[in-house]
Amino acid sequence: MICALVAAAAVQTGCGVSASGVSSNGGDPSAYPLVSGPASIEHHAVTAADGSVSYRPAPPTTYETQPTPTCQRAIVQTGTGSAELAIPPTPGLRAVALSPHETSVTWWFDEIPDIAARRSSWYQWWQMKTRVPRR
Amino acid sequence: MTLRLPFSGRSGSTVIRYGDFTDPADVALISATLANGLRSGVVSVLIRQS
Repeated sequence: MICALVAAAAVQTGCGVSASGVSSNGGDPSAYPLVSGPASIEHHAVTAADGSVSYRPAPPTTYETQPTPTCQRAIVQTGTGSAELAIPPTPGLRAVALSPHETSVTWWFDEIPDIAARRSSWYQWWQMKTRVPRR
Repeated sequence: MTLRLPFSGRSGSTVIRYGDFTDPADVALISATLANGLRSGVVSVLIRQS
């Protein structure tokens, strides 16, 4: 049985990227490592009480992840083709259940290149969801 | 259930509480998002049961 807490931290600025998504840190997002989307996510079958089968991403196998050391680059599809954009680093994450319905989550970043200059304008938030598995 | 919590800084922690209408969570996921919607990759971890 899998039930998931989904958390997302939003970063107002970072990676030398303006609100338009265009690099503003001297125009060189190419300094960041290029990442690609998950080419093949392992899925496993879940059988519901009514016998129907659905496929869901396999659960993680670790209790902690480390943040990526820097911002990254990703290729995205636009209306006119593809574009290479700087995206924020992936946070580190650790979560501990305090009770059946209380979970403590801790997140951190190693470094965001322009965090020092723009720290006052940082605003981050978490978005959390629970997903109830079908049985 | 969706919950947003504002915070600032390079790290942070919080306690998520949710109703007993749902099964206990066992996976946590996270990504970082810029104000313009650009988002990092998503990572997930098992929730350690204390």
